[in-house]
Amino acid sequence: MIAVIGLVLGAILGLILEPTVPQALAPYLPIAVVAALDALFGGLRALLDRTFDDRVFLVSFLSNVVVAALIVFLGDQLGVGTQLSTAVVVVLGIRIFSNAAAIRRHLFKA
Amino acid sequence: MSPERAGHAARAVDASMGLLNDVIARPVDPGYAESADRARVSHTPAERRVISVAHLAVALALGLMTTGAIANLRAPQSSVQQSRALLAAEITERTATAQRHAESNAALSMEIAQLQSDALAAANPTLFAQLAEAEVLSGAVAVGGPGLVIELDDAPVADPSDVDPASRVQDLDLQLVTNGLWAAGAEAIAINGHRLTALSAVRSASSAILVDLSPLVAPYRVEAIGDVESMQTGFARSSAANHVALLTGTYGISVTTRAADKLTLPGAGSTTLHHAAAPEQDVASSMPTQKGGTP
Repeated sequence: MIAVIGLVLGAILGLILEPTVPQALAPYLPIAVVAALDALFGGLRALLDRTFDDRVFLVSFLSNVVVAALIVFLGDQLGVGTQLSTAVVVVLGIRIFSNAAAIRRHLFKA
Repeated sequence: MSPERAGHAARAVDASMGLLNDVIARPVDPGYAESADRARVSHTPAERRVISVAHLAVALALGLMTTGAIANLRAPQSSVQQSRALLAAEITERTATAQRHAESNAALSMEIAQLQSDALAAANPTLFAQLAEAEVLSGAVAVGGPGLVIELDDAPVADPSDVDPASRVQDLDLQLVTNGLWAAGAEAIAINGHRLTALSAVRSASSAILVDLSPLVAPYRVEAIGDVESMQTGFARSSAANHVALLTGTYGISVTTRAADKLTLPGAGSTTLHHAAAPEQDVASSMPTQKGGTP
C-alpha cells in the first residue's frame, strides 16, 4: 500500500513542482507514460485479485518505463523508431485494455 | 494464470501465436502471482521500516517522474517556443551582421568615391562631372532635397491569426506607387531607406516584401526626391493614384501623402563593375561604364 501512497504523493508533488524533463528524454516520454499506465492498471488488477505487492508493483512500474524507453531508443538508433513505438503502444494498449476489462469484471461483476 | 504453459506434451494448436496469447490472456504481471505464491518471509520491524521507506522513496520518484512527463507532454509548446526563440535570436544576430556589413560597405564606398574624385577631379574635370551625374542618376550615392513622402500601412487587423492577405500592402502596390512616382518625375526614390536603382526589384517572398532582397516591415515609407508640385500633380493623374484610392477604399490600407522640404536618401551602396576598357590616349573617350550608370 505504501507504494500507492508514495505514487500519489509523488504525483501531487509533480503537479506542484512541475519538473522540467531534459530535452534529450523528450522522445521517450509518451511511451514511458503509456508503460506507466500499463503498470498502474496491472497493479490495480492485482489489488483486486488480492495479490498486490509493493515490491512487484514498483519493480514492474520501473522496468516497464525503462524498457519502453529503451525500445524506443533502440528503434531510433536503428531507424525504426516510429514502428517500434507503434509496436510498444499496441502491446501495452492490449494489456491495458484486458486489465481494464478484468478490473471492470471485478468491480461490476459484469 | 499459473506458469505451467511452456514445454508440455500437448502443444496448443495456436502455439505459434504464443506471444499474442501471452499478451492477451495474461496481461497482469506474473510477478504478482509468484510473490503471492512465495512463502512469506517474516521481517523484523526494523527491516520492514527500511523496506517501507525504500518503497516510498521509489514510489515518490516514479510518481514525480510520471506526472512530470505528463505535464511536459501536455505542454509541447515549450520546445516549439524554444526553437522559435533560437530562430529569433539567429535572425537578430544575422540582421545585426548584415547591418554591420552594410555600414562597412557604405564607408568603403565613401572611401572609393573620395579616391575617385581625388584621382579624377584634377586630371579630367569633365569626365568627373559626368561620373558624378551618372552616380546621382544611378542611385549610387546619397542625395538630398525636397520631395514627396507616401506612407502605406497594412489595414488594422482584429484577429492576428486570421489576416486577409488582401488587407496587407503587397509588392504590387509598392511597385505601382514607385512606378507612378518615377513617371511623375521623381529623381530618386527610396523605400524604407532602401534606395531604388535601375536594377532594384520590389518583390514578395510569401508575406514579406523585399526590396533588393532585404525584407521590409510595415509601414512602408516611399520617399521620392524631385519637384514636389509637378510630382504631386503627375502622381495624382497617374493610374497609381487610382490604385491607391482602391487600396484605401476597398482594403482599408492607409495611404498618406505629404510633401517634405528636406529628404535625404541613402545611396544604393557599392556599384559592381560590369564593363571596363583600357583608356586610350584620350581618357575622356573611354569612360568606364558602371553598373546602373545608364538606366
